[in-house]
This record gives sequence, structure tokens and C-alpha cells, in this order.
Amino acid sequence: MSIMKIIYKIQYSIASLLLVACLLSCDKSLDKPVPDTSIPLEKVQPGDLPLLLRGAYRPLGIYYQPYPVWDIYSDDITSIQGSSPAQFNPRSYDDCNPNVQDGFGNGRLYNSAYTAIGNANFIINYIRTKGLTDYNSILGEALTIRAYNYYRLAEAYGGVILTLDLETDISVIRRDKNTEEEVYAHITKDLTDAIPLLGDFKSADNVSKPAAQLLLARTYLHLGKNKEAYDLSEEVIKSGKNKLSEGDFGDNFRYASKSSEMLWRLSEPITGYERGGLYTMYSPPPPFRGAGIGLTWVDPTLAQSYEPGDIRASLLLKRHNNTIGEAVTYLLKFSTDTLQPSSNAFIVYPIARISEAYLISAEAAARQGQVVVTRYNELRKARGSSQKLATAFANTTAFLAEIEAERRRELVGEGRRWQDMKRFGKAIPYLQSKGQDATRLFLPFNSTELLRNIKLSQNKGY
Amino acid sequence: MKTITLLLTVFLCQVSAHSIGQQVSLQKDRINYKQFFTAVQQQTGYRVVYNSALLENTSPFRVNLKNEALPAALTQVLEPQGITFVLEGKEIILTKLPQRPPIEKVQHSITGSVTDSVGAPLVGATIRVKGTELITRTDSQGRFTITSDRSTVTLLISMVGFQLREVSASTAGNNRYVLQQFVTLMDETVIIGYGTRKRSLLTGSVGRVSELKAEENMVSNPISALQGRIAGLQVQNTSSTPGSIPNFVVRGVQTTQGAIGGTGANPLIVVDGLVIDAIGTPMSPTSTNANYSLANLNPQDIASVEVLKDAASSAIYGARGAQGVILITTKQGQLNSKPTIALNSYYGVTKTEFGYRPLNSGGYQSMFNEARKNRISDIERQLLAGNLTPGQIANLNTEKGQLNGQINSLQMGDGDTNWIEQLAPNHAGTYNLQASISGGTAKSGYYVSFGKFGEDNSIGKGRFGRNSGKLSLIQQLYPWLDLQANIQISNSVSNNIYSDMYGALQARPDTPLEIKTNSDGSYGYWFGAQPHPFASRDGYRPKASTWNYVGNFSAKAKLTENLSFRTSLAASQSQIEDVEFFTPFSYEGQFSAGHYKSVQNKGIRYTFNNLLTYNVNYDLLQGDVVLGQEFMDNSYGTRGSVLEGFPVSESLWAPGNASRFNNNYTYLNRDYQENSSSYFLRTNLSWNGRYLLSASLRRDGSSKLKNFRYAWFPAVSAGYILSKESFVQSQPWIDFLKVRGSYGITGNIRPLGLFDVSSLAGIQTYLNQPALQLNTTLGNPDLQWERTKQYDIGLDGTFWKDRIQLTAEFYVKQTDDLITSIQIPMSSGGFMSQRANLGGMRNRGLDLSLSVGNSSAQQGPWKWRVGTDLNINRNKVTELRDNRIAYGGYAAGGPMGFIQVGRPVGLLQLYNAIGIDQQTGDAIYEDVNQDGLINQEDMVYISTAQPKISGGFHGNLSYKKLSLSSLFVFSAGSKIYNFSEQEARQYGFDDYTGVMVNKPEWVLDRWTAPGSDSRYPRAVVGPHGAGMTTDWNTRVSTLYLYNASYVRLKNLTLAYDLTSTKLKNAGIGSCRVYVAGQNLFIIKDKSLNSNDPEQAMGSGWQQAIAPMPRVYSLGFDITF
Repeated sequence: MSIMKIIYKIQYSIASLLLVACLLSCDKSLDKPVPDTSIPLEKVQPGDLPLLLRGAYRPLGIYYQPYPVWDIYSDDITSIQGSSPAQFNPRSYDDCNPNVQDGFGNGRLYNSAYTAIGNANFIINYIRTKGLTDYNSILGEALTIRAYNYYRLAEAYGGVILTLDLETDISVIRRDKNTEEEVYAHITKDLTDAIPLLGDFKSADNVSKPAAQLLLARTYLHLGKNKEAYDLSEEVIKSGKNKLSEGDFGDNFRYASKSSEMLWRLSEPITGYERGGLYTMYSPPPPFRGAGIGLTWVDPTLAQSYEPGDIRASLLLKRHNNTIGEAVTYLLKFSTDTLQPSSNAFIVYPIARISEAYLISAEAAARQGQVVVTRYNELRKARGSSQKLATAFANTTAFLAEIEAERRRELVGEGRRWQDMKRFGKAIPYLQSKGQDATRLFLPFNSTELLRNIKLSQNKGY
Repeated sequence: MKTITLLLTVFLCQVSAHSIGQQVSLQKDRINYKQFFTAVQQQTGYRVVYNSALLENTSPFRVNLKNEALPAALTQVLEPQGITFVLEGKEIILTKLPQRPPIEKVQHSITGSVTDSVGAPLVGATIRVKGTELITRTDSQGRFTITSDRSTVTLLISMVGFQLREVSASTAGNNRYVLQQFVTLMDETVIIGYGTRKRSLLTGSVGRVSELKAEENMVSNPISALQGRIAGLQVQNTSSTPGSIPNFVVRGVQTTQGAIGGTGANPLIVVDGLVIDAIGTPMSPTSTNANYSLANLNPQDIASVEVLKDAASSAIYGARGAQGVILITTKQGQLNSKPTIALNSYYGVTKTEFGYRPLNSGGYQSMFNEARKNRISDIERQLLAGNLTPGQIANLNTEKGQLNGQINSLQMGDGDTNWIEQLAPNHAGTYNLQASISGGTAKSGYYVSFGKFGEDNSIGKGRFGRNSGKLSLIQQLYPWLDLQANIQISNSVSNNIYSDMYGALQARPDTPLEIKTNSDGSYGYWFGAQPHPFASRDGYRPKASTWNYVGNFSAKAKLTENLSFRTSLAASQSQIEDVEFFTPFSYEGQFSAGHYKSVQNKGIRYTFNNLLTYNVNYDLLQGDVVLGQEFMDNSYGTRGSVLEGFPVSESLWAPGNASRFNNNYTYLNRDYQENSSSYFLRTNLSWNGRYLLSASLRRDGSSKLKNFRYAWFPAVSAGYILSKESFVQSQPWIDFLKVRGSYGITGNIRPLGLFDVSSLAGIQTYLNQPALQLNTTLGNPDLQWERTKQYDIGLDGTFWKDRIQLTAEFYVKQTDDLITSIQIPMSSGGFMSQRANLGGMRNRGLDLSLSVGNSSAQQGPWKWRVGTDLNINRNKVTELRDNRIAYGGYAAGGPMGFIQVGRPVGLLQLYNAIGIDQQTGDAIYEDVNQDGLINQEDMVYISTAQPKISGGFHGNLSYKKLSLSSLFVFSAGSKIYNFSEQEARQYGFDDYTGVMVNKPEWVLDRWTAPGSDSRYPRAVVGPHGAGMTTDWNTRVSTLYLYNASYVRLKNLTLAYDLTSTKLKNAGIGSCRVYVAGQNLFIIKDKSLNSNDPEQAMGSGWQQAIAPMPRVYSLGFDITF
């Protein structure tokens, strides 16, 4: 009995010890779990800025859905995926919205732009509030990323909400959009601020001074500030590191390109079996090994406008389409990823190429009343097309029409066409032929965003 | 600390073998017999029957009984008066103590013994010789001796709490008798959190299923086996794929957020003390991994499942119990039981019945042409009507030309195949084998089992299989110390499971049976880029294997007479290997020479708890007080990679033959951890066996929270056993009647991600380099526990000697600080949501269990019982930050789910179709805002997801050795959106294959000409309808919405008991054979073409489903 009592006593002390131990240790354990692949924003150090910058560049997943929106929207590209050619706004591949007006990569265009903007905002404000002077180049790159993405938004929606800081108060976040003018003004400001901070061209994977200058030139051209556009485009051409390539035109769009034509591009890894992206969308159907379905092709008028010997035409492929019983021309501009190992393959999204500077220079000059064919001819020479004399054009209008055609030939599939159609006065007649009006110059805000922001007013006509 | 605990846990232990018996406590200095019998009846429920002459001239007496067993108490009080008693059923019959017979004839002394079913001696059992007044009682060893003038007599053996037995005994025989416990519904022991309680004394709401018979539950997991069996537990199958776990909720959905990567509305699950708060998709990189796979738990190893439904009963797990708690208790070793070997097995044939086929070749071609011709006619009409610009005319002509081109280019091949039939395997089966051995001595007990289950996929290919083993040991080390250990090891494998309903439905009917191959042997396409169904099937070789190692160890020490300490550690380790292999020839693998993706997931979940229990035992106040502490931790990691570059030779398709890694899968390598710490206090008290009170308080802390990490969860409940009152006892038809009520606050933390309190920048890679990107979730350091207030009022009763058994409970559950997401517009800079405690939800309803059958005392050959367990529930969202937020899963092109204030959870956003325009054949939608336009503003929100009433009906009938049991499950009041129907009515070229996909033959039911009487619009491509859009007729609309109510005959079993003396002599204790059928038929909305309204995703939509397969099986059940 006495032994039992001793045991009982021990039992008590063990039990009490145990309980006390738990009281002390278990609560502390609640602090133990920490995230394995992320860091709290308040713990970000200046040394993390290069990582954040890379994150700001990184296109938001499935970029090949928003990227070709404006090519298909315009007269350059026809796509009958899930639809018919007369349909003004084909049924989406981005079906992730229930309404037809929401489809078509619209949601992803919007989301990817704002994601990049949010990341750029964090970097810009981190550097500016902390007054870090050693990070000028990163600041310049972030400003350019922000400006570029606002440009995409303005091009798609006109006015959008300008968010320039890390906003956390929902009652502030929910507001109506800024005007288109305000957005363009801010794009201009960011790019103007960025240019002196940026260095020379090193790689197309990073923003450089000429890349930012070209984007600003593009913006000025759109805004009708032709002199500024001209000056900047000339600066880009004269910066010297980037040259028009004269040999393999397709090389410009390859991930491992040797040419210096590309000023800025985004890349996206693709997994082996999704070997696709833009290539799949534009390629002919099987047995052509593009893993595509062959329902997207180039406007026949555009396809026929290349001169014999034009190296750009080597990226076009005419094939009979069994589905519609006609021959159509497929665009193979983005087919280069087949040369990469499937285990580490990238799709390239051109953002800015040096050739656009030549075209802007010629157009900006023409819009100021001069027919200057120099830059125009330099580009055509590199592409293997015939040279033209200034006298071949009766007036600036005729030259502008020629520049428009040249822009189509040069930039097809690179997302510039709808903005061009607006500038050249082609957009509204085109819409009318589809039974639509000027409200269709812009896309609607998608229903998800409207649901999340009840204060955002929908674009007119939707 | 943990090491010490572990050692200690293994060191100590206990199980309680409680003797069933009624106890009497009564202290009175002066009491008469009538008063005494009333007290006995109130405390035990036993009615005393006697001839009043018997007690004439008796005087009041003094009584001092303290927890005395009823027979002993009666003997003590009655014997001085020369009175004895007999127990029959629930009655105590008094008789005169027999005088010794004056003349002794030849006397025979008959001796024997009485035990209970586990072999424990029964003390105080009454032995009476039938037809005489000879009577005796068993002694402390359960033995008796009775003298009779005959050498063979018939004995009536009775004891409180046991069934009366009539046996023959002789002087020569060994006369060992076993009494079966007399268990009525109210006598059953119910497991509650950290303890047990007799049902009659429960104040909370607990549903219980005691055994899951293999043949009545031909399912791969224990949750599916509970469907229709517990009032208030709603089980819904969402897939017929073998091994899939259904959705299940207790008393309605009580949260708006799923756990990340899984269903979040399911109740907390506790398996033998192991707290499992997530049924996530284990392989999802962001899942709150359970480290425990329910599909690995062998349903035949389960001893009982208790569902704690109200706040009072789930209070002890209160902090995580807001959505109810399912306590699963597996079979354990028992002390004092004789060795038993049990073997049962069935084999069944499995088949999916579709009831429809895809279009045949002729049907495909005519629908293809009809859709295009309809558009061509529209174009021609437009051109004729004039008033068009030249640009528009040109466009229309181009389109017309291309449509004609499409019609002319469509060439049908020779084949005409029903691909659904082709993809159904010839022989699919389901089988189960379970073997167990159990037994025990006075100080130790064991249970060992092995189970094997297999189910073939009845569409496509592959099978789900499970092997499981269990060992349970108990050991009474010292009289004051019990140890217990349980170990379960199981492996479940989903081997090569592939059920491509899309492939089967969408393959063109003229696709040749042979796979087309390219010159290099890789698979090609016959039409466009449409995969060949056989090639898709053969090129994909998945395998997922899940090992679960579950153990729990506990020790219980009796510190003093009333104080005990119990410590236990329950842990599970899971190890999952999920492999996806696309062969080098497959469509997905041909560009990378094969694609071998493997992900391993490993982790440990453990629950450590310590309980100090004090038994309260003062006079009429009985019960216990429990002080407890619990710590829970769940950590796991995933490791994964993708291999490519395999040789083309099939014999070399093992991972070691790959030639390179793919760079894009580093994200598969992750680590996660979560833990929580709790303290709690609970008491269950009863006064005079009649007034019941329980209260509990728990404090919980979670690692998921920051500024408000801890919260308190109180609960209180009370009950009143009316049938112990004399005014009820005067009603002989009432056996038992109790009313009870409870109120409490329970919690939920599961909707939160591990780090929702912080704004984070997460790792990404860009250009093969690490990069940081802001997460789309904005952190909220002020997050708190979700707290749910719950009221419950219940009534339990049995009437007319158990002929009617009834439990009815009314409840209200209200959550006011619901964890919801504030949905943030992308314009914030990429944030999409922030978690916050904003929102409210209420569930109100009634749980009803009612059954009618013969009396439990009945002896005849016919036995029957029919009944229902059902739940009527009304769910309502009472508050949200925004009036309406998105909710539930969504498939591209299908309807979006929402929740809205004032409506039940789960609405679908649809256009309201008000019919078909009889002139054009196009759908007409309601212009809700009457602005003359049909656009998003006109969409309506229709409540779809929540059934109003659901449950099961069961019927059991037996005649002698033949028995028939049936289970119907039903659900009513929800709706189902058939997304397949919507998709099938699109006739354009598919986005992914470039061909018009084939359709089910449902599409033949359509508008064809003015006056055609169809629910569905015409087949057309291109712009059409009032809005001139391409999707007009196939917009998400009420056209494709159906009633989801159904009644399904889930199981029907016909069994015959072969047990006989002959078999017994051959060593077979019992033997039962049966035939059983599962999912035999379903009654549902006739217009729903897909055949199974139960399988709903998100807020109530389905797409390309295979109905739950039918199984016919044959089996046996033997014990040795």
C-alpha cells in the first residue's frame, strides 16, 4: 500500500510536470510555422530588389491568351476557333467568364497588366521612400514596366484606375477609373523619369534606355506628339547597339536569338506537352507538328502584299484547310521554340523591336508634313524589299498609307495593329462592316472585375 | 517535451470494461415499500409488480444504499420480509420467498454458471425453475446451485440489463449459460469527445452508426457508407471514380470558404483521438494536407461512428467543431473474450448504366449540316432584306461561302462507333475480404485484422485497391494502470485510373477503331486534332499510392478512487506517391519523348492530449469533471520532378531510363506546417438520474493567426428525463422520454490558409532564375477564429416497448464572424482577395430519426423495422461585406457560382430562359431590367446547391434465418445545371481539337420548324437570337437547369443464416450467405439527361459524368 502511495505521488508529479511543460511549450510552438517559399513584405531587404524586379517582368501565366488579342481583334488575323469568321468578337479561348464580351483573353490581359503594375509599384515606392540611390537602374526598369502595362490597359480600355502605390484599404481601392488622358499623362511621366535612370542596351530580357525611349516614342505617336516621337525614335536608332538583322528573319523571335533587333521581350516557359503558346495558336493543323488546330490565319490581302524576296514572307505558310475547304496562310513567326529542348523551352513575346523605331521615325516625319523615305528604305532593304524614292509618293497621305502597309508586314502578330487602325482611321469603318459602332474601339471591363469593384463604371456600349 | 510524453504514453494505459447494470442510491431513515419502489423505478426504469396482499402489515424501514446494484439492493430490502423477486423484461415481479419443502423427495442438485457475452461472470442473476417457485441467485463467481425433484429441468435465467433466457439444465450437464445484454436504444453507450456516456443521459445531439456491414456498404470509404444513415449528416457523391471521397456536411454548410485545395465545409474528423481537420486534396501544392487519407480507412475496422451535431456535444472539440464532428472509433481488443476468427468476403460485378449513346455517324453529319444551313438561311434572309453597307454584304458573303465550304468538306468515314460502349471495360468487379481475430484474458485483449478491397473502374480503365492491417492491444498492467495501443497500416492504390467521359462523348462516331500513328510511332489524329479515345487512354498511365501509418497509444492511471489521468498520443504518417506518365507516343508526351511527373508527399499529423478526470459521486449527484490539454501539429512536405526523354521502347519506360529533368517543376517541392494548442474543462452531471447538466469551456490558439490568436469556446446543455417522473410513468406506453437543450459557441479555423495574416511576396522563377512576386492575397493580421453560436432542442423517446423509437432535434446555427474573402479588384495592383471576419450565415433545421418495428422483447420468427433518418435544413447567408460574392468551383464556359445575402449558399448566375421563339427556334431570355437589351444585367441568381431535405429510408425484415435489408437515400430541393447539355448544343469547331465534337443523342430533341414542341432551341452556328451573338442559344441559362431531387435504392441485401449445430460441431460458430445489390435504381427529374443528379460540383453543376455504378454481389460471413 505504501508503495502504491509512492507511485501515486510520482504519478502526480509526472502529470503536473507534464501539464506545466505543455503550458509552457505548446503555446510557443504556435510561432514555429513559417512560410517556405515567400517572405512577408515588411521583411523585404534592398538585396531582394533584383528578385522583385524579375518578378515584375515575369508575365502572368498563360500570357499567350492576352497577347494576341489585338491582332485577332483587328483585320490582320482571322480566327474561327469555336466560332465563325464574321463574328466580331469570337468566342473566347479564355472562357473563364460567362459572357461573350468578357472572353477573348480580355480578363487575362487586364489581370496580367495590373499584376505587373502592382509589383512595379512596390519596387518604385520601396526605392523612393527609402531614398536608395544605388538602385537607379532597377527603379528605371520598374517605372518602364509600369508605364508599359498602363499603355496596354489604355489601349484596351481607354481610361482605367491609376494605382501607383501598395493600396490596402478596400474603400480606397474601389473607385472609378481615371480618364484616358490621365493614364497617358502618367505613362509619359513614368517613361520620362525612367529614361535618364536607365543604361545602355545589354539584353532584350531587361529594359534599357532605348527600349524605354521607343515605348515613349510609341506613346507620343499615339498622342499626336509627332515631333517628340520623331526625336525619340531617332535617338533609339542612333543609340547604336541594336541593328536591323538582314539574314534569318525568324531568328529575331527565337529565345536564343543572335540578332540585336529585339529591344525588349517577355518570355514564358512552356512545359513539353503544352508546347504551344502563340505557335500552337497560329500553326496549321495536324499532321503539321505544331500541335495547333489550324483555325487562325493571316488576312489574305496582307499575305499577298509581301514582295518576292521579302524575308518576312518566309514565316508565312499557305496550306489547304480541310475544315473550311479553302487555302489559307498561316503565320509561323512564333514557331521557333521547336528548336529548344522541351525540358527548358520558352515562348517569346516581342514588346519592342528596333524596326518600329524606323517606322515611327518615317511616320512622325510624314505626320509633320515631310515625306522622308530614308528610315523606311533602310528597313525595307534589311527585309529584302525594293527601295522607293520620295517622289514615288504623291503626298504625305500616300506615304502614310504605305507606312501603314509596311507596319502590317513588319509587325503582324506583335499586337500593334488595332492601335494602328485607330491612328490611320481604319478602325471605325472596320467595326461598321461588322455591324458594330465606335464603342467597340475598347474592350469591356470583365464581369469579375465589375463584381469586385462596384464603383468601376463599365465602358460605353457594353 | 515530446519525447518524454511519448515514453510516458507508451508506459501508461487503460480501457474500461464496465459492467452493465442498474444502480440504486437511496438514503432514508424511514421509508415504506411503496415509496421505495417508486424510487427504484425512477432511478432504474424498472417497474415493480406485486400482489398488494404480499406487503400487507409491513412497517416502514431504514434504507442506506449507495450505488448498490439493483438485485443486491432488492435482496437487502426484501429478504427480511420473506419476499423475493424475479426480473422479466423491464418488470420486477415480487413473490413470496419459498419455504423449504417439508417433505424431501429424491433431490437433485443442479449446478451451473452464468456469464455475459464476453465471458465475465454475472453476479446476482435470478435462476428459477419453470413452473415452480424454486428460485436462487448466482454468487460472486456467477455460479448457482438449485435443488429440484427432477434431474432435468427448464430454467428461466434473468438479470437486470440482460435478455431473459429459457434453458434446459440437468444434473449431468455443465450448464454454462451466456446472457445477452438487453440493449434498447437508450441503453447504448455513446462515444463523446474524450469519454463515453449512456444515450439516456446525453444532453447533446449525437448520431451513431455502430457497425458498417461490408455487404450493405459496397463502397471504398467510410464516409460513403454513412450516406442516409444519420439524420443531419448529408453525404453527396461528386464522382463515380473508384476511391473518390464524397462531399459531406453536418446540418448544412456553415462556412463560405473551402479549405484551400479541398472541400472546407466537411465536419472535423477524429479517428481514435487523432484530430483531422481537413479533407484536402493531398497532392495539391497549396492544400491543407490531412496527412490522413479517409480512403485508406477500412470501413470494416470501424466499431462505431458518432456524429456530434450540436455545440454541446462538439464543444470539447469546439474550436474546430462548428461544422460538426465525426468521431470514428475503430475496433479494439476486449478483456475477457474468447478467441474468435471472423472471415467475410464478397465479390460483385460493377457496371455503369448510361441509358443513352452519342450520336451515330448519320446523326453527327446531319446535325453538323443543319447548324450551318440554319445560319446560311439567316444570311440569305439578311441579304434579301437589304439595308446593308457594302462592307457588311461582303462579310456575309464570305461567311456564307465558308459555311458552304465546311458542309462540302465534311466527309464521314466508314466507322460508326459508340465510344462510350468501347470505353467501358468488359469485366469490372468490386470485391472485399476481411479477416479478423479477437480475444482476451482477464488482463489483456487483442484485435487483429486484415482487409482487402478492390474496385475496378467501370468506364475507361484502372482500379482502386486497398490493403489494410490493424492491431489493437490492451493491457491491464496494474489494477490502477491500463495501457492501450492501436496500430493501423494501410495502402491504397489508384492504379491506372482514367475515365475520359469527354473523350468518349466527343470522339467523332466515324473515328476508326485503330489508332492513327505518325511515322515515328507517336499517336496522330484522324480528324483535326481530336485525340483518339484509345490513344488517350493508352498514352496515359497514372498511379497514386497512399500509405497511412496510424498509431495511438494511451495510458490511463487511476490516481485516487475518483481521480484518473489519461494521456494519449495519436499520430498518422502518410506517404503519397503520385505518378503521371505520358508515354513517348502519347499526345501529351510526344514532344518531350515522354513525360514522367512524380510527386511525393510525406508528413506527420499528431494529436497529443492529457486528461484529468474526476468522478463526481455525491449522493444523488453523479457525473464527472474533465480538465484537458491538447496540442495538434500537422506538417508535411512535397517533393516532385518531371522526367523526359524516354527511349521509344516500351520496356524502357521506367523513370530511370529518362534522359533529362524538366526545369519548370521546382514548385512541387514545398514544406508546410500548422499547429494549435488548447485547454479545456468539461463536466457532465446528473441529479437523481433525472436532471442532466453539461458544461464545457475551451481555449484554443492557432498558428494561423497573429493578433488574435486565442479564443474561448463555451457550451452548456441540460436534459430532463421525463419518463422518470410518476406523471409520465402512469402512461404505460412511454418507455423513455427525455427533453434536452443546448447552447454553445464553436469555432472554425480551416478556411484560413497557413499565412493569411501576412502580405507576402512569393517565389517564382523567371528565365530559370528565382524571382519574387507579390501574392494575390493581401494579408490581414487581425483575423480571428470563426465562431458559431448554436442552439439545439431535442427530444428522445421510445414507446410501446421500443416499437417506436424517435429522436427529433431542432437547431439554429449562426455564424457572425464568418471568414470570407473581401474580393479585391485587380486594379489594386494584382491583389485579388483578403481574408477577413466579415459575414454571417445561419442554418436552421430539424433532424429526425424515427423507426417503427416490433418490440425489442418479441420472441417470434418475424422481425421487422422500418424508419428514416432525415434532415430538413434552411441555409441563409445573413451578412457579407458585399451583397454578393463569387463562390464554389467553376468550369470554363459554365455558370458561375455566388453567395448573396438573404439567400442560401450556392447560387448560379444564369439567364432566365422563358422559352423558345416558335418562329426562329432561338431561345428567349427574360429582360429583367427591361432596358430592351439582354446582357449581364439581366442574369438572375438561382439557388441551386442546398437541398431542403435529405437523408435515408431503411427497412429490415427477417423471418427466422432469412433477412432482407434495404437502404434508400434521397435528397430534395436542390437543382442541378447540366453543363454537358449546354456544351453539346454548340455546333462550332472546338477550341482544342478544331472539329465539331460529337454530342450525346439528347441534342436530337430540338426546335426544327415552327410549331415543333421542344424545350431546346435549334441547332445553329454564327450570330443568332435576339442579341445576334454566337453563343445565344447556349448561354448559361435556366434551359439547362433541372430539379436535382432524387431517391436512390442504395443497397438491397438478402441474407440467409446457415448457422446450425452441425456447423458448430465442425468448428464454425456462425455462417451467413447473402446476395446484395448497390445503386440498383434512381428516381429523378425525367428531363435531366445525364442520369445522376447527385454528382454536383461547385454550386450545383455537372459535366460529363458517369453515373454511380451498379454492383451485384455475392458473399459470406463466417466466424470460427
